Amino acid sequence: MEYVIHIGIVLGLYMILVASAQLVIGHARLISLGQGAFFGTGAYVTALCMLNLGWSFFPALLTAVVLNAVIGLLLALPAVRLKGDYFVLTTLGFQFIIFQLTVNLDRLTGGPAGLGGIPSPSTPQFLPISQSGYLFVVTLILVIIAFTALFLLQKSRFGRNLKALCDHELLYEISGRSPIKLRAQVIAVSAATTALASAVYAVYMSYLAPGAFNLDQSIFILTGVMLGGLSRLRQAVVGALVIVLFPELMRAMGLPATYGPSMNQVFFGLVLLVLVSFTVVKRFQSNERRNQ
Amino acid sequence: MKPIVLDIKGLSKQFSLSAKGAGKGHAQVISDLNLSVNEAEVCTILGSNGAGKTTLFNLINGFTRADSGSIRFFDSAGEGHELTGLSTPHIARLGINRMLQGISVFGHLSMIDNLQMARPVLASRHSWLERMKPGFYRAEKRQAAEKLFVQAEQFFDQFSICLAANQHKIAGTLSTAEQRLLSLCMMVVSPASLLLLDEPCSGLHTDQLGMIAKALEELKRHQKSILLIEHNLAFVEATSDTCHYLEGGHIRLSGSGNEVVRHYKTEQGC
Ligand SMILES: Nc1ncnc2c1ncn2[C@@H]1O[C@H](COP(=O)(O)OP(=O)(O)OP(=O)(O)O)[C@@H](O)[C@H]1O
Ligand SMILES: [Mg+2]
Repeated sequence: MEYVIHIGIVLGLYMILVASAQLVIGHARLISLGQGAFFGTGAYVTALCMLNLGWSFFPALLTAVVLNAVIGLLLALPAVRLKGDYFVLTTLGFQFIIFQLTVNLDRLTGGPAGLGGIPSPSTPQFLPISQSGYLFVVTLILVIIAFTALFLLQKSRFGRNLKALCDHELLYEISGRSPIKLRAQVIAVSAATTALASAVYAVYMSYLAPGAFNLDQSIFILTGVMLGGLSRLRQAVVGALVIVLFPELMRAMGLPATYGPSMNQVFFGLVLLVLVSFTVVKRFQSNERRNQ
Repeated sequence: MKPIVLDIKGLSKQFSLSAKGAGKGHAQVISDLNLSVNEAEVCTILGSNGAGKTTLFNLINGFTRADSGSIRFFDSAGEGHELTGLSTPHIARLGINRMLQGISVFGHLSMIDNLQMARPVLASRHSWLERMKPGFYRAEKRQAAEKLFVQAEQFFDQFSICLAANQHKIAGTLSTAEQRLLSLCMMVVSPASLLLLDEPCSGLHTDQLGMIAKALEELKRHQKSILLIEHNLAFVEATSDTCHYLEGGHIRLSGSGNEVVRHYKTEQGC
């Protein structure tokens, strides 16, 4: 039972992470390698609010969401003026900066040793479920919140504008709207929803180390987006399912622990390579050619 | 004498050729160009391929930065703005809309969404107290959408296209002529007072040109000023109020449509 709950929580977290990344990568056509960093900032903010300020979980979560949106806007400031390769490079730079900060600000983040003892939110008295069962319920609720928010956003004028921007950037500018502003908003929203996953991760693990939020994590999330699909929310669910369950499946098949992780990397590496060269590139290219 | 909406003085632009792999050097595409456009008139630019007509439009709406010169635009309230140095969205919000050469619709959006894109972000003249009322934005949005629909429906009715039945069609699936009409309808519903139309007749059958001419009349009726690029000389003669011949980077000849077309024909030897 505990195992099922564990998988359920991890799955929920990656559903949020992949769906948030899909907004940037799929809908705004901006390849971001900084999603892992946003995951990290949200987690550290939650942990620090709870540890240093003694806040309870939900205020800490809200703070993480808001701060992540702000950090998203700060990244967007230089990044959205750039397109294509240059955008990727800025997000990569951002990823490295956040990683280095978590490693080197050891007074605050505990450095490479990490940050431990993050308290779990206490289960309400009236709920006859275990600690992790409660976290699973919280995760479920946050997944619903994140997906509803992203769904409504895509159905709104914001979503229509985003579609129009990817369709024909010059025409979008002619309509009097600023592509830069819209891209910045997309990055901020994506960072904010990412923080929902971060907060649960922090209290579920009760321990944070920089290694969980490095480039590997960003690429892992990116793989989830590519695997599932670039446009629909249910594709994000599929992507999350595959990236979470595939490694578990390999383990269940009895692959030795020493090979497991590298096998997974080989598999995901191959998948990414195939997807990027055959499907994704075409979509991005057809778009760029039109915008020449 | 009608008031002027666009006044271009001493405009110059050169491109470096090395970037295009054609050896070193510069191409002076626009040099010391002067041009003015009157309100609610169709003003046509004639010129051979590569004369710099599209470049001129790019300079006006901010896709390309001018090397020197000034472009002054007078908005519907008569206020003057210097356009050089402004960004495209900013210029668009002042009241300049543009139809691009080729396809000028959002191909993946429905017709109605395309029309809505031509509307600006709600330019509300209400006080913040009024805006605080519950449901204000929803009401405002609905009213704006209804007004837009009526206006667009009237336009499409003239070409016997039923907007109500087709509004959810994806623009990319429409025929070239229908896409052109949609672009022109976007011009009608947009609040812009100056329209830059880049070859609205290209790719259309000669039978369909009457339709475009009619749409231009409709635009004029809506008090829109039009700067037009067009290669079809019969169409130019029929629709232009004034006409300019662009060659060597500046206006060689200005006059009525008939005059300039006659000169252009002798020049081109046809
Ligand atoms: N961004 C650019 N960089 C370099 N050269 C350019 C650029 N844009 C246009 N040119 C050159 O400027 C010249 C004028 O191009 P422009 O597109 O304005 O012509 P045009 O009059 O619109 O022609 P057409 O009737 O074929 O549409 C061409 O020789 C073109 O190669
Ligand atoms: Mg041209």
